[in-house]
Amino acid sequence: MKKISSRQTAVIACVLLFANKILVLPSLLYEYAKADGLFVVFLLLIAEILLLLIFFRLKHKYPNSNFYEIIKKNMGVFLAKLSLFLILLYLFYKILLVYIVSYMYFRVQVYLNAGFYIFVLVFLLVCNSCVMRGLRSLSRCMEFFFTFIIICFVFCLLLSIANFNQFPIFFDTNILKFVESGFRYIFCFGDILLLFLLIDRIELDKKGEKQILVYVLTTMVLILILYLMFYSIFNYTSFVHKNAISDIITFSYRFTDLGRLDMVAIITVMFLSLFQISIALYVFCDCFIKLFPPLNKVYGLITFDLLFLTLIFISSIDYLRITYFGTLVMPFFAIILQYILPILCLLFTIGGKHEKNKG
Amino acid sequence: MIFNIEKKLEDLKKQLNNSVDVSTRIVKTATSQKVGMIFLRSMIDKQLFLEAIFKPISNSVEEMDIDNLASKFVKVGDIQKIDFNKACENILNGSVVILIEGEKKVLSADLQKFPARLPAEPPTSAVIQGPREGFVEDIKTNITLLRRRFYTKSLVLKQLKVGRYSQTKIIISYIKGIADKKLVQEIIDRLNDIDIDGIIDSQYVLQFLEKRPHSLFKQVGSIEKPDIVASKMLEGRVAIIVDGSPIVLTLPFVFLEDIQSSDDYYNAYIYGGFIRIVRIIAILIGLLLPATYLSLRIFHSNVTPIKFLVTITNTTKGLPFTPFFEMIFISLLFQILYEVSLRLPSYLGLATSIVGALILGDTGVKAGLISPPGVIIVALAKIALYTVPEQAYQLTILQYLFLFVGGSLGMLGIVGLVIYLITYMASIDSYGAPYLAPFAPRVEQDLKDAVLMTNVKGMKTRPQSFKNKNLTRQK
Repeated sequence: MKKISSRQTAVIACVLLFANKILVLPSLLYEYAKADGLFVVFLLLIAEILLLLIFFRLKHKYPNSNFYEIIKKNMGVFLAKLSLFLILLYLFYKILLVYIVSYMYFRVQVYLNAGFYIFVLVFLLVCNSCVMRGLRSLSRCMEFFFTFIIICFVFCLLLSIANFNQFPIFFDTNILKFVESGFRYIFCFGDILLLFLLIDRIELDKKGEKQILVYVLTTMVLILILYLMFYSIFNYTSFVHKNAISDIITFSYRFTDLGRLDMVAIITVMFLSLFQISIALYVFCDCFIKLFPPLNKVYGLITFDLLFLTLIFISSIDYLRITYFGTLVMPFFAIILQYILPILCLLFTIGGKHEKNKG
Repeated sequence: MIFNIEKKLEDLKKQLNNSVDVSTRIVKTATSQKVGMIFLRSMIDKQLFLEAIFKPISNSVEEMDIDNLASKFVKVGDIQKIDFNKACENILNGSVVILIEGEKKVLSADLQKFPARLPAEPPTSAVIQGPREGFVEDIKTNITLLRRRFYTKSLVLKQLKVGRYSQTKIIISYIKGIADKKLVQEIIDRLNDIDIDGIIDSQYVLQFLEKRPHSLFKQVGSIEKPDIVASKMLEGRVAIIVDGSPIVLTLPFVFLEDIQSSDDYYNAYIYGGFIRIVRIIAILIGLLLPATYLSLRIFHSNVTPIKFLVTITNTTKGLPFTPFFEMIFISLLFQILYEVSLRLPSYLGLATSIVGALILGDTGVKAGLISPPGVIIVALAKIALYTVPEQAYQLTILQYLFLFVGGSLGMLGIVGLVIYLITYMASIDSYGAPYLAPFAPRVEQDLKDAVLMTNVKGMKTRPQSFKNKNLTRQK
């Protein structure tokens, strides 16, 4: 089996960390928790780090088994299959969410008069082809562009300094609202779960673990700076600005002579959303193969594409519906899959013999 | 045992289909001994034949056998005793075969010579500083050019013959102790598997060596200069020299190799790094500029800087073509002019350039058929691709692909195509070397000579992107 390096794993983790957090989430959190949304994000990102530590422990204990085999060994076939099925649905929702959020963003920012066929075509063609090429090629591609993505992201943050207004007013909300906002939008976090599903494809050593942690912590800091800048720039009007990474640059008169510098943010989001969907789709197909053993990833892709196109064309699913569904149902899903399942995995690592590393 | 020289020579002539360039001579020496000679006139050095073989034999006064013929009479460096049934093969390779009555074996003297040009600077790899000699079509000259760069017994040159009819000589060259044995064996196996009627040029061999033969991307290095091949061999690569071709192939090959030039190493390394960045920018301009311009005009006019937008709107007002067809039209125009100037003699090529640049371009703009920004952008993009001439053809195809995607899907389509291509390139593996190394996967050590480079003193190890037997370059 072709494995991916620890640097590539770190890059995947960082790309997943950016998922769903840099566009619409800051404004959604502001509606509930005001500027304290920053602390909500901080706490949930700390949870991601804890998930990562659980992942390291699990990898150490089971260096050769995949996630399905680990659950099967400890909880039996039925629960393993059920978990995988739930993850399949969860991933489908996540992909749909990234797609709809990106679609809305591009529509507003750069494709004013374009038909939505463009988005469907590009997303499906690119992500399907990435999945067909395999995890190693996809992770190498992500590795290739990672430095570019980070430079663009930092560039956006640096430009936003020019718009800095005043420090946001913290602790302006009650604890109930604070918890509620975290609960409602918990489904925007926990993407580290995808690493658990790729556990047998990752080559990891002690140095690699440190490398992944450094990358993830750096990304976390960048995300927190984005939230800080966003709330500082927009303050009470934060809830209006649905495209955080773009809006912190766009609403500036200082750079108008240079043209729309938010193009940098737009291109960054294009890369990030295509990568996020590709990696999630890859894991989707991997789960599909394990759930329906005789079928290969082509069937997984066909199933996904058909479901996706049906929802997009027939149900005319849109941004409002998907986030409404997300805040209503997904928190329960997310808590079970993102947190309870990994904690159970942590319990599996206590006691018992370590698997021999064949690699 | 040879008893009847005339009959044996006749047999050989028959085997060679009585071709017009087959010559036979029978010399009767002072001792009445008959010595027969057969060769191809078109393949040997006639002067040397007269001086080193014909005269000594015809003037001999003593009885000859094959041993003293070889040691005393034939004054040629490369001689060998062979069986009669192998005579034909040697004649075809430019040897004179000598038959003596009463002998079991025959003598073969290599006098191969045919018209060949002298090593000159290849037009595609010109340098400001550094060696100027280039490979030629003659394999012996090419081996000499390589051999004089390695006065060591570690240089290995293995010969194979490929092609049922052409029997083309292919030399596999590497440095023992540096190149990976498995890599060498894999290449030899692949070459041995070739079953084709003839090999005309190294490009034929290249296509058999590519692991993805239908890929747009070049997967085997093709080099015209011995100094570059020597440096690649020192990195642990294997060189493949094909008789009749001035292009030597090297393996493994990574995409970055074509962005590097020998000039980078012969100048100040800081400038080398700078010029590599310029080449990368040129590739990006060549591939993405026309497509981006098109997508800005068609889809994203709202993100175009206002002054730029005003200029474009003013200059494109009233054009009969859509933006997409305008760009395709100008691109094709450039491509036609390029093709014509390449094939025509230089004096006509100059005239074509004037017609193309001044008459077609200028008149086209004045007639309101094409816009000045379109002409500038296409011209810049087309020229930019030739900063990396080895990849220019592949990149030209990609340029059209990007143009099509930019015009029909906009910026998201361009980003999508970039991701598609990079994922594809990341999946290519050239004999153990990841195609996008040292960037994906990242190989820290090799980044020293990737884009920004260090000086020769700083390159202490060989590339680690592919297997080497000995990583240490300097201590």
